[in-house]
Amino acid sequence: MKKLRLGPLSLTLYSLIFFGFMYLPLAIVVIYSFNSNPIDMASWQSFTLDWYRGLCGLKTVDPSLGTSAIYVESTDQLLKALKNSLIVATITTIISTTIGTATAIALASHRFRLPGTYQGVMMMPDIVLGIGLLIFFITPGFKLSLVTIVIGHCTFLRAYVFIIVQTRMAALDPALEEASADLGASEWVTFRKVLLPQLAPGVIGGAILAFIISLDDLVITYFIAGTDSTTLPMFIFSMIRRGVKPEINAIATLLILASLIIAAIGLYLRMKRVE
Amino acid sequence: MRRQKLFLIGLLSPVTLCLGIFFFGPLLIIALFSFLEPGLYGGVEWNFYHWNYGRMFGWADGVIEWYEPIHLKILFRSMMMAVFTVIACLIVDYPVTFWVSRLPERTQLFFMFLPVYASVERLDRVMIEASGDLGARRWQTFLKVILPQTMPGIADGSVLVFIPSVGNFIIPDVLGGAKGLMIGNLVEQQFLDARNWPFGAALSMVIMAVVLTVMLVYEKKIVRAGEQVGEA
Repeated sequence: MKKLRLGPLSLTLYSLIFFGFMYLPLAIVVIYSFNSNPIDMASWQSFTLDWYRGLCGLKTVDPSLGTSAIYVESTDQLLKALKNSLIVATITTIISTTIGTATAIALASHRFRLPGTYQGVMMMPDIVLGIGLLIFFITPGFKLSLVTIVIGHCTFLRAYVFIIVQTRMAALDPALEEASADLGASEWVTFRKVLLPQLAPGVIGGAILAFIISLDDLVITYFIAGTDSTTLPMFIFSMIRRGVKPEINAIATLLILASLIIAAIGLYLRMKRVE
Repeated sequence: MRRQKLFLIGLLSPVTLCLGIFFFGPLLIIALFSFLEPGLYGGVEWNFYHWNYGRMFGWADGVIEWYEPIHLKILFRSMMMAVFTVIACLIVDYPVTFWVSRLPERTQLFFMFLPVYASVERLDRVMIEASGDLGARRWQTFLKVILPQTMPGIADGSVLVFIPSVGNFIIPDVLGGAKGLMIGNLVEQQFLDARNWPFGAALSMVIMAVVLTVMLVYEKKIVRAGEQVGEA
């Protein structure tokens, strides 16, 4: 590796700039979530925790600002959107992880590999799936709701879980399963005690990915969400056009924190299994 | 054997149901709608109507004399943008994957998701050294040894970037300004503003066709080219 064209120093420098550039926008969101300027979020006034307090319902907005266009949406709506997002993400994660894992196990146990073309068909632009599901639900007269969002998310997230579990599956030693069967364990016991523990890191990784993508998805949700099932990304997107509530930075910061914690737990479990 | 079959059916039925209903269902219904006549006030008339595609390729509903391929131009612009996005991502990301592959193993766990990285990780170091020992210059080693070996990862990564960036309408909407109408925005407008669902469906059919073609050709060509250079 020493003979690579790029010297290690310039490569390191470049990579650090790369990651800095990637995470700078997030850092700005975090910093400005402590900005007390209620009208213009982009100019710094002073340090405050008001937006966090507001989210917890501990502080109400100054009535003099209450009529300003910025406060058209109430914090309640924001919290409801967050709640919707969390409900959808949780249910989606459970369902898509189950389906994706089951598929990976079934396909691996028969040494059956999907041809590349088939996998290609499985991937299509989000917008196509979004409008497809929209027509699909509307034409027979289904009402758009949280349920339709969950269905839409499961349809594409199942593939992500499948890919991750399948990668893990490919690295397993089939001799262990055979040994278990030779020692008289039933299929179910082999599955529970041999296969599942080995697969766990992949399943956990898939579940985390599904949760985070579901929480974050806008394109598909945009089409199949009903009027009273606004999720957080949709709420933020609609706010961008009408002026942004400062609370949004606080929520974003909390979400970043939450994803970091979830990712850390995932990594910890993963490393623990590896060792 | 019988039990195993039952086991397999049990494992595969949820995914079959899920895909059969909620994946292929929407696909078929898009295909169906793209051949229906748009209703006067939104919705559809259940008649066969091929001018959705005519309009896509530049003829306004049934008028052959007047040709203006505005929608094709938008499609082309979106494709070009997606291609540039892929190229930019590759150029920017490629060196970083090498840096990450030198980090201690524990730290590397953070970057498992990158397909290009996965192939850089699997690089055969011995071959790189051998190439140097046999008198190849560094850029020759890079072109003939490193690049071909990482080609599958590059192809996978490109597809992963290309597909979302073709259809995305959110980012052009927020960052694009007035001139940046992309095919994704056009589809969104047909569904939510213009309420011309059949035309929107026809547009998505074309997006899908283009994406599938580009993807198949790209994967085949690039991966095969990589293998050939690797063998030579």
